[in-house]
Amino acid sequence: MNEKNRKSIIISIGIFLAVLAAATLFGVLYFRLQFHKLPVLYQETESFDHHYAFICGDMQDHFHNAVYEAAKDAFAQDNDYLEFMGRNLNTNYSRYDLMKIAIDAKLDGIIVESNESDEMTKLIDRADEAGIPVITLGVDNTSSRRKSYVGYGYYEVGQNYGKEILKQVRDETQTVLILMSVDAENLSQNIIFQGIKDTIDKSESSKYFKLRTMAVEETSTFSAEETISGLIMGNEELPEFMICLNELYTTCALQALVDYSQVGETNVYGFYTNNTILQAIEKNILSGTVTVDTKQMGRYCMEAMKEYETAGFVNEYMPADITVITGENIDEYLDREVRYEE
Amino acid sequence: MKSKKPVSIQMKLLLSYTVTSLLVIIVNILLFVSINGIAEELSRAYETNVLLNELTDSLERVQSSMTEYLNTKATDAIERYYDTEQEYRDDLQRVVEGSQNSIVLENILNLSDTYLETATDTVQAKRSRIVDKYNVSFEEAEELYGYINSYIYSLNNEQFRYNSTNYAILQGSLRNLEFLTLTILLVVTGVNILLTTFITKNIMDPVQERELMMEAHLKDAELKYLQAQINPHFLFNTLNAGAQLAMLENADRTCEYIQNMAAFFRYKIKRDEKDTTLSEEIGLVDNYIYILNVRFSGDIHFEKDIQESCVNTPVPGMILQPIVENAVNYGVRDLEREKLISLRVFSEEEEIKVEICDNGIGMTKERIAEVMSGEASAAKDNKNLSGNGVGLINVISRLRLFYNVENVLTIESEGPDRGTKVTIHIPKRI
Repeated sequence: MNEKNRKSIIISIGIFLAVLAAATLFGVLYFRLQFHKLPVLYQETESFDHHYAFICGDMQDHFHNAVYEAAKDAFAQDNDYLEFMGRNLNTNYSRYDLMKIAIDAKLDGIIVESNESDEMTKLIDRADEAGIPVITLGVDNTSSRRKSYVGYGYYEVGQNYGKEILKQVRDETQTVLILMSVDAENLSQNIIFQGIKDTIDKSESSKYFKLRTMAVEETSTFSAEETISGLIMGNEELPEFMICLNELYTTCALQALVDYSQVGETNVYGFYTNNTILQAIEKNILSGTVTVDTKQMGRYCMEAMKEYETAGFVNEYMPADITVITGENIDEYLDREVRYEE
Repeated sequence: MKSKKPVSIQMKLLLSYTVTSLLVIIVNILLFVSINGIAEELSRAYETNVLLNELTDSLERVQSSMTEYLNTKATDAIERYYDTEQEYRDDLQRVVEGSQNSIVLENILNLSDTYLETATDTVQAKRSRIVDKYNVSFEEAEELYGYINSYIYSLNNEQFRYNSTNYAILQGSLRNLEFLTLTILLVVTGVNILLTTFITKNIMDPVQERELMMEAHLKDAELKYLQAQINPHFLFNTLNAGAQLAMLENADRTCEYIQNMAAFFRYKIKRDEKDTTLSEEIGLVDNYIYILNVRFSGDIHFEKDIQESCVNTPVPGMILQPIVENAVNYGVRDLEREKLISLRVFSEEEEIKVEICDNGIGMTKERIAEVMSGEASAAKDNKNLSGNGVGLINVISRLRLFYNVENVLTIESEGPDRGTKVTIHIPKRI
């Protein structure tokens, strides 16, 4: 009896100690596991071969974000990192400041949404002197020593708007209002305007269209929205056609149309796509939009940079495809996008 | 059964206590170590923020010492500039070692390089009095100073957010560990209770074993007792037969003797352990003395002085005879002179007194005290009592139980050879 009891005592103590050890071990392991689960703050730089800068004027802009994401993915395939300059910072730096930072931080290359200003030209040249290749994106700076320009044909964009307007010719004179930025450095909108004008002028029905431009104040942060709302809710008669040359104007315009019940009173053509714009086209609030293949642009940025690095020179101009989306082809477009995502 | 040296109760208790205590101690140590680990991690959670704050401070010192030098061209300012520059580089190194590699950090490092170069250029230009140059490069340095500060600030914010997440996770795991600790401690306590129960149950077993053995002995004793009872019956019957035979043969004295013996044994059978009356007890003493006198050739003189009113008093059985027997065995047996035993029963106010006196060898006071306290060796007494088996202390305890009074029996003796008087005090009101 005693022998049996002693054995069972020893066995039960043994089992208990084993359970205890297991529980404690589990506790320690669990604790270690928690550490592995801690989120990684940033991607480690050590694993990247090169570090490039992406600089644009409006960091919230969907268009530039889409280009950035595409370019970043393209660079990542080569084990390089493309940094969206200023996005990690709490201070809102201008493009010029960000250019300086990129140069002083000795990055390997810069992709910048430039303009034709002298300051930008100087900075691009300074980067070039420091051995940092610069590729301009969307808006060029032709007088600088940038290595390549990735963009799209503004003239072509203008032509597309013109063609869409011509489709709706009537037996009366219709006004086409083009909303333009007051930013004098932004030459691209002038080219777009020229494209629209030339397309309409060359057509037989040019006499039925009257082109007008309107400068949208951008002196303060929210002034664009105020100007566009003012135009749409104003008592003046609305023009038959309105062309918004960027994503911000487009979004503001369609919101104002809805807010002031002016849907159908005017044909609004926008620029670029986002969910709001696409939905507006589906609902016929917006007549159409002209968009650029951002993924293609992103890829071109990477290709231009790599080509320059390996060959020492690169194509001066790499244009991306332009697509016009209207109520007629939106389903097709969406299908293609979905397929692309997949 | 194997003959194994049984473990003592003390050892078992010690074992159970030690094992359970050890378990608790081990568990506590393990948990303490784990909790300590977490606490350490918690205290380190914001370490990177501290480092970055220090970096900001030392950057500011570089900038201000440079500005001071540009303002004053003082020697101690330039010394301070070089000191703070080195300090800043050291702090930068510490930040690099203390935090994860990141894009922002890399930018800070490169910007800092450029900044320090520019600052040194500025200082050198000032030394060489190239006014244009140091003005321009001071502006550049100031701009860079702003960028770096902004980057550090941003990194600090990011780190803070990240560290806060970590802190929350660590706190969560601390809570989990606390829960685990509590659970483990509860389990350990439970197991300890089980273990102690188990071990102490084991302790109880030998006790039960002993109880069993005692029971067996008791049964055995009872059996022997029954066997012993057969003898007086047999003796009683045979004695009666002997008495009849003696009567037939006209041996009157033999007949009387045998009848007395028979009566004595019959009383023993009937009255052992039961209450009876004083008269029956006196009768038994008569029988006993008669038998003794036949045995000792009639040389024990027995005197009785009985108050008739007292004879029906109830008493526990077998109380007088053992006292008389003691008086004979220890008092008068070896006397050369006349052996006298007297029995007096008389009533007093509160009690009835039964006095048994002898003229024997008497008792010392010490001996009396010994007998009264029951210290007189029972074994010795039993041996000397030659089989009747009822000692004086037994009589006393039965009297006490019967009357529920302490003072039931007194022994007096005036000294050696001056006889002994044993008095039984029977209270009238029970």
